[in-house]
Amino acid sequence: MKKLILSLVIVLTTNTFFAQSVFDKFDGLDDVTTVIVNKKMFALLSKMDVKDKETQQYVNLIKKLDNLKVFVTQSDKRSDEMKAVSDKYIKLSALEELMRMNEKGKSVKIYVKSGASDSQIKELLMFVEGGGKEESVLMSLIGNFDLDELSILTDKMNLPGGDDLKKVSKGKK
Amino acid sequence: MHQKEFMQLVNPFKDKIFRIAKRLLVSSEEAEDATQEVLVKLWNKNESLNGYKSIEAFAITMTKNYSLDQLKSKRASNMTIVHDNCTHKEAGLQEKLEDKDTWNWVEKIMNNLPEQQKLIVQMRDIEEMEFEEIAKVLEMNEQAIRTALSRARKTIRERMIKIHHHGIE
Amino acid sequence: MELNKIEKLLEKYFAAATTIEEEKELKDYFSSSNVAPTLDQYKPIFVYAVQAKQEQFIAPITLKNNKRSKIVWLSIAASVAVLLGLVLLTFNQYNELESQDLGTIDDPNIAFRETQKALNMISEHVNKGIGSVKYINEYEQTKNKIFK
Repeated sequence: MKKLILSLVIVLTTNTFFAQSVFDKFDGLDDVTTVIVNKKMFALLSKMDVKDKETQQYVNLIKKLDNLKVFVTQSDKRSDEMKAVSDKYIKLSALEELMRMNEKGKSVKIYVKSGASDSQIKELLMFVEGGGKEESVLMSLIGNFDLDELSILTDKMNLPGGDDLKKVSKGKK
Repeated sequence: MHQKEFMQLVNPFKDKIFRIAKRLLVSSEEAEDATQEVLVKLWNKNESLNGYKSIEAFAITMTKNYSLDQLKSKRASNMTIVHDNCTHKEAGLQEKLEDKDTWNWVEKIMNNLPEQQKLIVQMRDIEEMEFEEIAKVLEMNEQAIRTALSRARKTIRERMIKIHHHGIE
Repeated sequence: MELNKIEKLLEKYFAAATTIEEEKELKDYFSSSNVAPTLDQYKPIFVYAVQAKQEQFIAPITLKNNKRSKIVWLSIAASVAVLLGLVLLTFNQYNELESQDLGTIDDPNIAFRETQKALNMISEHVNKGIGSVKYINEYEQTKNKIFK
């Protein structure tokens, strides 16, 4: 009984602590470009007055975001570190793999944590591993948004598959 | 009161109450349980023990009561009491008897006495308690105790003679 | 001890008139090797009494009170642990909101642009993945046309 409680406490604290500290170590490194946008900033952005519809779509999504972290690096070493850290984090937070891709030597992996319904996303983690000359990107997005809302942002760029979006969202259920 | 103090307090008579419990309950295990129960109860009384003139007498009374209660509830549930003749935890078994069997017979005869007589013989003949003490525990007057004791001793004698003459050697 | 004396004591014994001292005398006599043959039958009775007193209580004694306080302590420790966990949890979440404030960017405009960039990146990749579904679709349609 004592052990159960102890391990529960450890898991709880580790989870929260881990979420904060595990990526933060990349913040401030010379060979890593870091972008961190917190809830406060998102709150400010969501109040922005925008004229065009396109930008409005962004703002709509931004309203549903709590936290964004982006880490970009050219260094192979950092890239490996990022990979290791994100792998650990994925296991700990029980994130599910949404998809993974490989093109031109770049590997893209996206993991999500679902919210109330299957298409609702509470957390998204993306890791782009660029081999050699390409840069690696580790991105963490926390909030409460729908997959559609994400997809629609780049839909106007006429990439194939925009129509099948709805199929996928439903299919994910 | 610390555990150490308590242990020192009960050490002189813990064996005694065990034997008394065993005389009534027959089984060593049950006697052990009874002894544990009594000791724990005493421990829980802690400071209020100071009010007793003789903690030993109190402990023996508790043991008697507890054991008799156990017997009562067993009878009610139709359980059979285990006859534990085989396991003797006596320290330093010295065979002064020619015949080990007859010694066992004494125990059997004693166990077959009525409860009250059983207790009196145990307390007087084995535990060597004064009549005054026995009277307190059993809540009887001394004369009544002597009468019962005499009857019990005679019964033991008669039955022993019967066995002797039947030549069970 | 003289046989006479012993016989008299025995009489008293069965009348329950002996003192403890006298009973001890009888026990001593019958435990010795000089028991008169006529009194042989009484030997087991007294020897048994002596032996029976030797029996000891050996089992270890566990005083319940300790167990009880152990349980009390355990539950206190447990609740403290849980409380601590909850406190740390909420403290952490509070920290996340308050400290760090805006993030690495102070200017909302830049923040917006960077967010846009990030969201676009994700969006592109997601759509690429979805795009492959379309190809599967096309394959299905083609297959059906041929094998219908």
